[in-house]
Amino acid sequence: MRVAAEFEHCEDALAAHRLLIDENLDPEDIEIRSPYPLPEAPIPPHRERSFHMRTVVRVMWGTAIILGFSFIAYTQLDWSLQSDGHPIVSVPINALLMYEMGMITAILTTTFMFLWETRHFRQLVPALEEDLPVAHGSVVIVVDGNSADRARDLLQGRGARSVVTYLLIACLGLLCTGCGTWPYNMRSQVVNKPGETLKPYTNSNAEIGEIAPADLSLVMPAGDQALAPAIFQNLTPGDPRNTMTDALIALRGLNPTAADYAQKLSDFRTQMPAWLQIKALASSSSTMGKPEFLTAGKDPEDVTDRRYRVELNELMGTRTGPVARSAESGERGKVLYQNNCAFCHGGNGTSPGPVGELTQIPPPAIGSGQVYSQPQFTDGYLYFYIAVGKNAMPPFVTKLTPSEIWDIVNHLRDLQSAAR
Amino acid sequence: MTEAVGGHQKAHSHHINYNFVAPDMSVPEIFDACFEPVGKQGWKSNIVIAVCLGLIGWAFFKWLEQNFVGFGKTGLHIPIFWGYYIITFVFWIGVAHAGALISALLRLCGAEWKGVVTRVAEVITLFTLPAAGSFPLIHLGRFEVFYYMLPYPNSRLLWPNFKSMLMWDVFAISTYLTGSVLFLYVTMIPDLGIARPRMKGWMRTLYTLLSWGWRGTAEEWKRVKEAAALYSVVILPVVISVHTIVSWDFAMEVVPGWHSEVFGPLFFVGALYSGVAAVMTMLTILYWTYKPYQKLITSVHYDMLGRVWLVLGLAWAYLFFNDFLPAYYTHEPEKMDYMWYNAFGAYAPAWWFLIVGNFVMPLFCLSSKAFRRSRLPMFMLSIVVNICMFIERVVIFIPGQEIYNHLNGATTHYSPSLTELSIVVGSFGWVIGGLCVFCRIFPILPFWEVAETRVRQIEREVAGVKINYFQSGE
Repeated sequence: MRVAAEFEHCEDALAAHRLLIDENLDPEDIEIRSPYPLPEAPIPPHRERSFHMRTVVRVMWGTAIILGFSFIAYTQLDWSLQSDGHPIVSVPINALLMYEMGMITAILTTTFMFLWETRHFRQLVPALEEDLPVAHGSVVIVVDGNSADRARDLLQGRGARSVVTYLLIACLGLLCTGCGTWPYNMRSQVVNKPGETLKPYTNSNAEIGEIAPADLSLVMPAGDQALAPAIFQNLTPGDPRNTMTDALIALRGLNPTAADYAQKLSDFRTQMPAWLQIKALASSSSTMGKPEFLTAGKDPEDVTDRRYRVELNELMGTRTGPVARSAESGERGKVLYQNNCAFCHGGNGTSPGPVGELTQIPPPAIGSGQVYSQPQFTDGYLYFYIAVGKNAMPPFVTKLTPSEIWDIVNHLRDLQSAAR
Repeated sequence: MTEAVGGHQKAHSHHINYNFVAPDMSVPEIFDACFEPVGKQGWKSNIVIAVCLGLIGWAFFKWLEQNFVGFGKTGLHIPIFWGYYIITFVFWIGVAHAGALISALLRLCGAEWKGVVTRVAEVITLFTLPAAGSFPLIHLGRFEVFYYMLPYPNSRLLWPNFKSMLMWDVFAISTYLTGSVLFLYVTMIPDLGIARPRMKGWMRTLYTLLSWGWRGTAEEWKRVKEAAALYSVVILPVVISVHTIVSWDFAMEVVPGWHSEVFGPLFFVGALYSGVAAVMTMLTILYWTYKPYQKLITSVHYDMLGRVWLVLGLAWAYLFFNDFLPAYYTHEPEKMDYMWYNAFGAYAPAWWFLIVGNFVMPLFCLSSKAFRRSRLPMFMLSIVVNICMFIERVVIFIPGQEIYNHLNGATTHYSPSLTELSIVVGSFGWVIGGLCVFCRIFPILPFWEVAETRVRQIEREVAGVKINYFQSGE
């Protein structure tokens, strides 16, 4: 068992790492990986390995100097290095050579010690799937061994997902988007300015049912929540990596309650900046606007593994989800649906919502009761495509927990029953 | 969140350089910007590389011709033994000093703006130093016996001439080349490891092999920063030794104009001066060539680098006049001849151009903040300064040999032949073409250093003070 959690911001990762340590998980099992040196070195003292680079370089440097002095003495005394009774390498020249020898010894020793001391942490060819998020700028915590199960629970609300889910998203995200892209848009591309809040929009377990006020402050600049258009400063106009997800996050920031979202949305649509409309259209194409360079040619092969295909088949074959259909679950699902899905799929899932009207591919009428109640569209099927996204639909796996997605699935079943 | 912002303190502000604010970009955006040219081709750079290959090919042909026909193909003749080969050698050594020294100094000082400058400087060293090192070998004439320079045991108990300054060059330059290549490589390992999954085809294989399984764990980061700090400390004395030893090639001679005690620091400072100019040229070309770099290479970099440049320029001017002043004070005859010959003889135009272009112009231009922060003028000044630094080597080395002849008293004029010029131009082809190819294969702007600065600045703004992650006793 191995669990990987991906964090966009290093301080979130450090906090999560700290949490794992505080919960007495075995530090040997926890590994934090980042694309840049973290502001604080999160190495617990009992994970510290011996660190002798500086000492060894000093010793070797000193040895080279001592050898150099010995060589001076030797050339002054030994007959074979003398000519006409004078040493052929005189003292100042010997000192010069000794100086250079000391330097090159120190340089080579530094290189050797770097390679030697990092050998514990290296794998000659590391697994690619865990490298990908790091390569995309995220900080990743990998927990291995006996601690993995605990870590999975602890990190659940913090953006973590197991490697199994992770790979599922990766390989099927690739298939769904049709061009071998990493589902890059699942993370919001909020660029924080100094002095603004740092966390992107997250959906933790505590927020089920309503959007907490604290949540709003995460999206909007601190102390200036009335200034709604300011959130759009976080979206860089014309940036191809802005996706529908970002637009939805921004829209949610405008809309603290689920009840009046439609009115807010229509207001917003009249004031929507031109670039955002263009972007909403652009992101409905299947490429998700990812730069071509990022598409590694062999990725689909590398991240796809037979084991995970089996897992996927099992999920798709799940007729009823683990969360039983009930009034409570349906109610939870309804609120989540209104907040996350109704923008595109419409309030009752039969006709497109305000954002859904903008997309080139119209969102399917998931609540109509005609198509999606057919037996091949199992609960597992709905769960899967909510998690990984499809066509213009972004993946929700980072926004919602599995139980929340199952609640939405139950609500969809309610909608379909009502429509029939 | 808001409490953290409200709790902003400047308790640790003594080590914060508030002059430089990292570009407002997220980490993935910084990655995309830094790796923009990697793995891509363009017709413009194809043309540049083709032209450079042509120059190298032509130089190679002329070098072969020189080997077969003889040294008469050059303009060298008695008593002018050292000509454009040695001048270009010193010129490239000078430019190469930019690399390790700027990078090491900025690292040791903890300058936050170092991000985009360090690797550019190191890569310039990577290509200029082999270019420099090849010139003494070309100048040997009998290239095939270069291994006589190595002190290896042999049946006739022959040793290389340890008293020769060229012998010292061999040791100094090989040390410097080893050090600067490893410095560049080790600090590039994180970038290679991070970018590995996003590379395609043979480039992924190359990155996998070169990155030594880098994964970016906290332990690895700690060690790579330690190694970078150690290299920085070690490379500084090496840099100083290299160019002072190169200056001794001349200062240990009895030729007037060469035999000067001030040559060590003069050459060293001059090398840094031309090196900073080369970094400025390269940064500006990168800025104009790759659009995503325009967010990363800011006017602050020009300003900061310009200040360093100004100080080095003043130091160079001080030492340059210091070379003449004692001789003038005592009216030392040979040195006076040399001085008058420079200022009012055949080399007067070049010498006065040197004074204006290398001292007067930079002094007035770089004193102005507006000038330092404007791109095109800085670029043009950097070109002028490097032309002047080449001229400086010419007017230091050639006139002394022309006016003074211990052998037979005859004085002659020297001008480089087509062979020499071809090989000199070919070395420019090697450096420019090499930099182009490097930009296509490796990130010329260090992603992790830029990202680190950005993240640290965000952290500082939000948290205000540094938090000790693991308190003692935990």
